[in-house]
Amino acid sequence: MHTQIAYRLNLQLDSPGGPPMPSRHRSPDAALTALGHPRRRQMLSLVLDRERSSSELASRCKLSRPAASQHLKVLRETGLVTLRRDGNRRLYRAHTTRLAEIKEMLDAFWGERLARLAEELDPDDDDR
Amino acid sequence: MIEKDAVIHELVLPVAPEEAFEMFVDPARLVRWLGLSAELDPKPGGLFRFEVMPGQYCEGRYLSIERPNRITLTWGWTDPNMGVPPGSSRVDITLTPTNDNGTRLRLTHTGLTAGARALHDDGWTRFLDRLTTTAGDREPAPYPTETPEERRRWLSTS
Repeated sequence: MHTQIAYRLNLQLDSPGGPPMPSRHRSPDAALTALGHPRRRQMLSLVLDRERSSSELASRCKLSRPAASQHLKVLRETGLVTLRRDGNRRLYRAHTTRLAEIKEMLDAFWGERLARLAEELDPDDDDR
Repeated sequence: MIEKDAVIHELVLPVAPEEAFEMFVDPARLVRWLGLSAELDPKPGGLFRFEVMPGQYCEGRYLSIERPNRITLTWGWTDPNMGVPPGSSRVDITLTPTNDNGTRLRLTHTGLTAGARALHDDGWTRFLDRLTTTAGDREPAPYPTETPEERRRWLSTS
C-alpha cells in the first residue's frame, strides 16, 4: 500500500490514478482546501467587492492578528486574494479571475457528478 | 487527562471497531476530524503525516497495525519551535468493541515533555470530540483556527 493523500475537501479522491498534488499551492485542490474553512470564506466574501486591510479583516472575523494573517497567507498563496502594500498597511482583495477558474472547475465537477447520478437513477435509459 | 508521564483519553465511539479503525488509517476519513490534509501509509514504518494548521505539520510513522483493534505510531511536529520532533513521542490507540456495536477507544500519548503534555491533552480533547461527532455522522465543531502557539499561550494563562 502506498501513501495516500487527502485534503479536507476530498474532491481529488475521485481520480486515484492522478498525480499526488505536486505544487500544492497553485493547484485547484489547494484553493478548494483554502475555501473549506468557514473563516477564510468569510474573509473572501468581505474582499469580493472592495479592498480591506488585514487588521480590518481580523476584527470583522473576530480573529487574533496572527490567526488572521495565517488565513490570509493561505488565501494569498492559493491565489484567491491579491495583496497590495500601502505604507505599512497590507490590503487584500479577491482575485476574481482565479475565482472564476475555481467556479468553472466546480461547475464541471458537479455537472459530471449530476450527469452520472441521473444515469444511475434512470436504469431504462436507452443511450447507455 | 494527564496521568504521570502520559496523556490518556478514553471515550466511546458510536461505530464498530472496524469503522473506528479506518478513522486513523484512511486519510479521507482522518481529515474529517483531524488535519487540513493528510498523507498516510498505514503499514509498519509507513508515514503518518497531517497538516494541523496551514504549513504546520504533525509527523510520525506507524509502528504497528493490528486491524481493527490496535494502532501504534510515533508522533512529532516538523516545526522545531514546537519542541516535539517527529519520532520523539508515541501514540497507542486501542479499540475494543462494546456490547451495543460501539467502540471503546483508549488513546495513550507518551514520551512528551512536561511542557508539551498540556498542549497535547488539550489538542486530543478537542480533536477526539470532533472524531466522536464525525463518527456519529454529525457535523463536528468548527476546525480550530488558533495556531498551536496561540493555544499554548491561552492554556498557560487560563
